Amino acid sequence: MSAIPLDEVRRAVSLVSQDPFLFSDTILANIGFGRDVPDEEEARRAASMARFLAEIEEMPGGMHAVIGERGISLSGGQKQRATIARALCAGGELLLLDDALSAVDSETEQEIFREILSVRGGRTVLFSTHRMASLSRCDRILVLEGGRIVEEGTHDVLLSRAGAYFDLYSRQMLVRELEAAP
Amino acid sequence: MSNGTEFYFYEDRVEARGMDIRLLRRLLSYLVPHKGLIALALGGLLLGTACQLAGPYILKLVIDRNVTPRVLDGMAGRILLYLAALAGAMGFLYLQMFSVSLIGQRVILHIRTEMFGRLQRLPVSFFDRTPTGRLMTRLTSDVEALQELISSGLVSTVGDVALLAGTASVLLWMNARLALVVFAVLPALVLFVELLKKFIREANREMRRKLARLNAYLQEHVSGVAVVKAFVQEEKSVRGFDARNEEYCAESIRLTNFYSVYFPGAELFASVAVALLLWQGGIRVIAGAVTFGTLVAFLEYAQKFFNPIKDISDKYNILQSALASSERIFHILDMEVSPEYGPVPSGGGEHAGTGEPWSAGDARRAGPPAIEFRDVWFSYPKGGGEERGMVLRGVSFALLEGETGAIVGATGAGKTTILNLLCRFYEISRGEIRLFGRDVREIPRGELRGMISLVLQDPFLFSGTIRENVEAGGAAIDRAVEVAGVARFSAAWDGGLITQVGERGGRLSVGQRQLVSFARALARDPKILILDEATSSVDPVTEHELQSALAKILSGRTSLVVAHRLSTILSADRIIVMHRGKVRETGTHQELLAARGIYHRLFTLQFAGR
Repeated sequence: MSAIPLDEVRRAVSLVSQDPFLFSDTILANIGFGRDVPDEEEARRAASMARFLAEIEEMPGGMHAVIGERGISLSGGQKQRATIARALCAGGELLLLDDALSAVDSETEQEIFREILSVRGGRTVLFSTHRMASLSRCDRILVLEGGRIVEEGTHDVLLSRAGAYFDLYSRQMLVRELEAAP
Repeated sequence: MSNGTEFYFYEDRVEARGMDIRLLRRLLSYLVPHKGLIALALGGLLLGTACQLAGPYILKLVIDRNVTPRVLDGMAGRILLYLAALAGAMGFLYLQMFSVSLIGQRVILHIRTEMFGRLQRLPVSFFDRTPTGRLMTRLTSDVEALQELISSGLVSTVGDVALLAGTASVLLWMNARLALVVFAVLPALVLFVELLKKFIREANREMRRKLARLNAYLQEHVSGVAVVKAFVQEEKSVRGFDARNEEYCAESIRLTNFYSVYFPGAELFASVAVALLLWQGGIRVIAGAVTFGTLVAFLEYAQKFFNPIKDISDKYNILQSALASSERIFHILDMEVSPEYGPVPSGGGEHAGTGEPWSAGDARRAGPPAIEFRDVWFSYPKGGGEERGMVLRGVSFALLEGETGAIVGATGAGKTTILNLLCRFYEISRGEIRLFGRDVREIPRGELRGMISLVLQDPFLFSGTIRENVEAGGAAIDRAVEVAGVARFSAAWDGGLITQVGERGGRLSVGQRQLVSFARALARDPKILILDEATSSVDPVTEHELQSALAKILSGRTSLVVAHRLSTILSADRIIVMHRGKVRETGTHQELLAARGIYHRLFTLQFAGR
């Protein structure tokens, strides 16, 4: 990777980080940030994949609504979906999602993943998460512990192995069960 | 999420608003305690103005009584008088300027102190929703705008008016016809000044707006630099900055342009007045209707006459931005302080809680429980536009004196909220919280906070020495550092307890910071210790130190702990299991395990296999 020019690496990779950072600008400019000139059609498509378009259209000004300091303030979940749309719009071949949907409810998270995975074509998606429900669709799961990969495989394979992944998974199922308790 | 977009740049919000008499009156009320200094300033001002006005008149006398009639007699005296008048003007002016800046500084000192004092008393919920940057602006730029008003605005405006009125009267008194010649220029000058000032004001406002835009962009693109890099938009980002930078530069040049027309232009009007004077005055001097000395004095006065006119409209700007600032400052000063700073409602029973069936079967100690929650309901105050539901829903539990209670539960169960409420950082919606039988709302704040020590999950240390940080908690420092194990690790350092901890305690390790925060909590020898156990993992040695320090701290002291460590949970006298805002189970570890309820499942979840 160090042999590839930095610009090229970064163009190939679209990153969605944990902390959703947006600029005080229009939604269009934010979603189209990765492009030299934002294209409204593309931005719409990306926003729709990120399950954000409907809410944008309800805002006064729609895509041209200004957000941030002097405009509309978005909720945590909206910010996260905006950053996902931004990454999708940038069109890198490798999509990195770093625990990017923590403020989005798990149903919407599922929908967004479905969208991303269905149209990705040749695109590679790498995401880190604490929520494990979305993992069953993945081709390969890496389990990290203390900075090392301790397990690797698909969801089913890892579950059957009854190791670290299985532990994590069953704990999370237990938490979900606890959360669902009245 | 406190990312950069929440930093506020206020300059552009200083929009023109009408004079607000109410605001002005309140501002003036700050001057009342400085009556003496104000009298001094005004006295200096009036006497200084009088001396200034006397100068040209003495000049006239020298010319008319000595130079023109070729009389030496009395000339030296008049010249000395002239010098004395100028020296007096200087002296009085000094007196005035000094006392005015003294007033300005003292008023600002007062306002700043008042603001900080108010900030300290505002409810925690205020800080939850107000970005720090905004408060910093209030305490710095807004206060400075006020200072400018007081030290350069108010009194010197009075001075300008005095000089103007004084000059006009002297001119009229000396020669009404020539005075009218000087005044003839006035309408044109005022028109010119007002017109240009209008442009300058607008350009000024526009420039401030451009500057704010530039600053906001700069700030945002520095804090968002990772995003810019990740999307390879450095060039676009630079282009955006350049555009704003150039806009600002162009606006500044426009403003400078106006100023460069303004000052020479105003000079020009003064010169026209001088020319008119020379013409009309010259004719009269030749005709013998006016003395030569009068003409010279008039020429001198004409200069003094035009300066204040140029200045006065400047003052209007200062006044306006100061009024806008003061409005924001007063907004903070008028905010309601936290209820715990208010008067304590009377009639609160000292031991109203006795006799309640708080804990049947445990008669270890007599008297009411040290901590008791009775059907407490709570939701965090709304802010940020997000609806929040009830965080606590009918929580009841009791903890006896000397007992250690451990609160356990999943994230979001309401554990930390219980601690916050016990310190009365927020007001509960329903129910009662009692300490030793007294409702917390009936315990004076000083007493309440005096009997409770709080250890936060993220121990916030202030820059200063270890000792100073511990001292902030209370006086029993020596014992506190001993018990908390601070003495042990600091002994290895040259500075010992007087080692600087650095900003936010940055020079200490995470574990050391925690130990210091333990010591700080102990230094007060609190009746009740509240502890939000840190979840961050530390190395095994530190972990061991923390555990043994904790064990010493908790033993025999009434304490309520949000527990994450197994050792803490196991050593607790009573475990309170929270789930979704409710207490679901209470008991000892053995009892709860045997019950095979939520605790059993949580325990297996978290600690099984360790």
